Amino acid sequence: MERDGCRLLFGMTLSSEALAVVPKLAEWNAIFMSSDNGDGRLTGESFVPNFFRANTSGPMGTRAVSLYLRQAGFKNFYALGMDYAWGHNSIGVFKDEVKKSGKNFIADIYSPIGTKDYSTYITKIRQSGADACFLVLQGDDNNAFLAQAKQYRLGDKVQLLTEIVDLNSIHAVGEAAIGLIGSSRYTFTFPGDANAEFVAGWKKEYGNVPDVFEGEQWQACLMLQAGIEKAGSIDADKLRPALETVEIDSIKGKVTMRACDHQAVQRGFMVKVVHKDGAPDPVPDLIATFPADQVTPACRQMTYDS
Amino acid sequence: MRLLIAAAALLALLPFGLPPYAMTLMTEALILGLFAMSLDLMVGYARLISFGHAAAYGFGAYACGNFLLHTSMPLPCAVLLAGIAGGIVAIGVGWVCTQATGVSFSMLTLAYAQLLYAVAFKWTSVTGASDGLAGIPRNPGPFGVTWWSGKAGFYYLTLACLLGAFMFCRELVRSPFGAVLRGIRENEAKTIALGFNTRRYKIAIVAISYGLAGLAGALYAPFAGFANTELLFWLLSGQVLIMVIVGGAGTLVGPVLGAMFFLYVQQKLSSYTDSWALFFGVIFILFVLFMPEGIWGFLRSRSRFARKTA
Amino acid sequence: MDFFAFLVTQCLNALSQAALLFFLGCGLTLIFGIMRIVNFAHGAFFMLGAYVGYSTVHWTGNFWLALIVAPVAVGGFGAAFELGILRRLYGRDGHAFLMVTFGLTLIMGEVIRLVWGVEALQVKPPESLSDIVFILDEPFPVYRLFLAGAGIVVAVVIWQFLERTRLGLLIRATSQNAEMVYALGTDVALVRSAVFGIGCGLAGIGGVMAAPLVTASLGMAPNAVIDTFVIVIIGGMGSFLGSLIGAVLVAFVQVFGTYYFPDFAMAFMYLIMLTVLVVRPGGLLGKEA
Repeated sequence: MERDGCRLLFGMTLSSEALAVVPKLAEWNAIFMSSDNGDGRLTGESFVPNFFRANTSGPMGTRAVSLYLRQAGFKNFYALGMDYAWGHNSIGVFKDEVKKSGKNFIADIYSPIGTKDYSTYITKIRQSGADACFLVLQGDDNNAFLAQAKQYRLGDKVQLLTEIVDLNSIHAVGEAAIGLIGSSRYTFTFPGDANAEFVAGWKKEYGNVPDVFEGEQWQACLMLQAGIEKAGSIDADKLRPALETVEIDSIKGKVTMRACDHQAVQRGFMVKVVHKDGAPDPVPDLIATFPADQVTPACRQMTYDS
Repeated sequence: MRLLIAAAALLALLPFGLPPYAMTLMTEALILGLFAMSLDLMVGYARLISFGHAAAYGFGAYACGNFLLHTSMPLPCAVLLAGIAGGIVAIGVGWVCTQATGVSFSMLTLAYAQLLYAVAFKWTSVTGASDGLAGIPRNPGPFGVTWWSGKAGFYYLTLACLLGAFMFCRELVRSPFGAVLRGIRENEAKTIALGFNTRRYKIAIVAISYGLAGLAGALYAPFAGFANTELLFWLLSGQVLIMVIVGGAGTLVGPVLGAMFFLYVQQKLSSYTDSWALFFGVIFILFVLFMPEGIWGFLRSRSRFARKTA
Repeated sequence: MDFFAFLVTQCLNALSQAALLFFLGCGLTLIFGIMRIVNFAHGAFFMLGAYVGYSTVHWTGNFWLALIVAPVAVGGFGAAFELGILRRLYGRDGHAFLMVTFGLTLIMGEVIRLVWGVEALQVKPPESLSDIVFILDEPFPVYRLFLAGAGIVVAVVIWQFLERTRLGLLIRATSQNAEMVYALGTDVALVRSAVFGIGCGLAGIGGVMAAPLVTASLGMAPNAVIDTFVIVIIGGMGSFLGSLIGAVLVAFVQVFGTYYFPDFAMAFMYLIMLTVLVVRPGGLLGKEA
């Protein structure tokens, strides 16, 4: 940033890195458009004016899951998450939501990052008597858990719910992902012309379908572009107010940037991983959509009132 | 001595010529240099190979970060205090680890480091767990003194710490204490036979080495503005060991050069290729095969001038 | 689930886990015992085994074949590396090996990433091993039984190999007194290459067996290195039986410890390691003190 005098920051994946970088934005006079960072605090207590989030945040993802739960028949819940900020954060929101909807939250458990053997955790979930388990896992840990859960046939007894469904995982574990229900920040099977066009263009250029983060990044690019066009410059002081009022018709439908905490207000989606004839891997199928105002928390908040 | 003064002068003049991002890089190089030099005390002078030096570094960073975030202690005080704290804690570590010798000793240092890593991950109130501590300020001193808050100022502070530590270490290794260390390195049995309680010397050098590493970590926290569990990870312990060996173990200056070399190569390679780790690995293997005495060792054997110093 | 069923299934879980740890630890301890080399790249060899296994299954659809190809390929590569590079370093002090094997880890990690890509890859076990059995009314994956069984078989095979065969005898002798063995006319260099190859091969088979459980991924190497070191330190560097005990001890403590005290899951391994080392600095069956 300093060496080349950059003014725009884009594409940082890890929330922890984002949290570390955000205090320096004022010093660099640079705008940060997040396309992947989910941590609720970035538009909450750690908010800085130069930060904008075009993507769905962690709390919003969890919220979609909990709204879905109110319609679905599950009564008793268990939760397993990775033992660090995101895991605790998301499960905290989830626990809250379960209680608010009058259902029973049995217990939560956290696995260290890099856990390879989930047999103990699977045993605990099975023993708990839950009919659904909320998972907050990603990467290698997520793959290992799904593969092993399938080997123990856990899915037959307990419905597995997850905060994030991504194609990498599905590809890595194959059939072990079938039956998984989760909230999705973006899936190529979303309806709408904007998405169909994006997916077709992606297929043509890369030969495969776009995954979660790729879709989110596209949306973030569109928002950034709209902001820059409005402001006519990338100068932070001009771009900031322009971005605050950006609204686009995106691959996820209508998305509006909110001025008070720079969170893009957008719909929430639930998908189920199913087998589709003709496709090499299972695909996430859209099963529920929730309106933007129900899914996005109040300004600078990470939890919901109702 | 002349070489030292020349080098110090050169380093002191740098802020006037370099652009800001290069200053940031140089400051980081000096911090890593201090870190590597501290390890050299153990590795080069006493042949106590520590696989867990990142623990000392991370400890210093977290300690200083906490001091700066939760008290209004002036920055230099926080830094020094964190280093001293690291040294004191390391007495205990040294006591446990020196129960064993050789490879077992090294493994114990690794065990301790990994345990600290695991603890740091869980102890959210002190370490911020996986997120770490962010937004660490550079607290002003009494009477609103803030010369260390800017880039150049902080650089000078780091330079002062490095030079101070260097002179301290140099005196240490030239002293009778240092002679005993070298005795332990060359032939511990004989040294014991001569009547020295080598265990005590080993514990002492571990404490001093870890304390200085803690000082480096303590400088890192306000430098970067954050401290996280990456600073405790064993990969960092491996990297700093490489810096010492590539630079030249047992020379004090070598490791500082090793750190600079490491940082420079990492920066340059990563801007050219995604596969910089590959080239890194090859470079190290080549070093071991063809230049085992390290950069400084190599330079010293080639130059009469260099041989006069240290 | 009644307590007895719980106990049985958890013990089986622990045994399957121990098998994987044993494959890793046994290789490392053999290498250290004979060559005094701390093979930092052991985790990378483990990972390579998983990826070679993936490719074999991908091209031939035959998992059993992968179980043979992976250790042979990885072991062969290890032996080649020893011949080409490590041989030049004997006679120098320990940290030369450390540096070189660390460098090798970096190189292998990158090469694997370039060849196989960053995404995790699925390695499917064969149909016959994909089912579940009911043990005291609890479902238990057949694959894990297979792992536990394989661990026992390999342990017995290696034990017999070391005790009964000529090469085994040479290996044990070399670990005790390499000079004498050399003086008696054996090509010690050959023994060393063989041992390094076998050690890496063991890591390789561990990798291919672990793959159906965790998928082949780039994160395997760093995790495996630490796990391996812990096992071997606990058991004692250079002791084959020690690596077996270490693996079983760590696996059981992990499984039962995580069940009763999940908050400490991360720390268990290191706590055991520290405890053992304080009481017996060389490890439980180690030679150094």
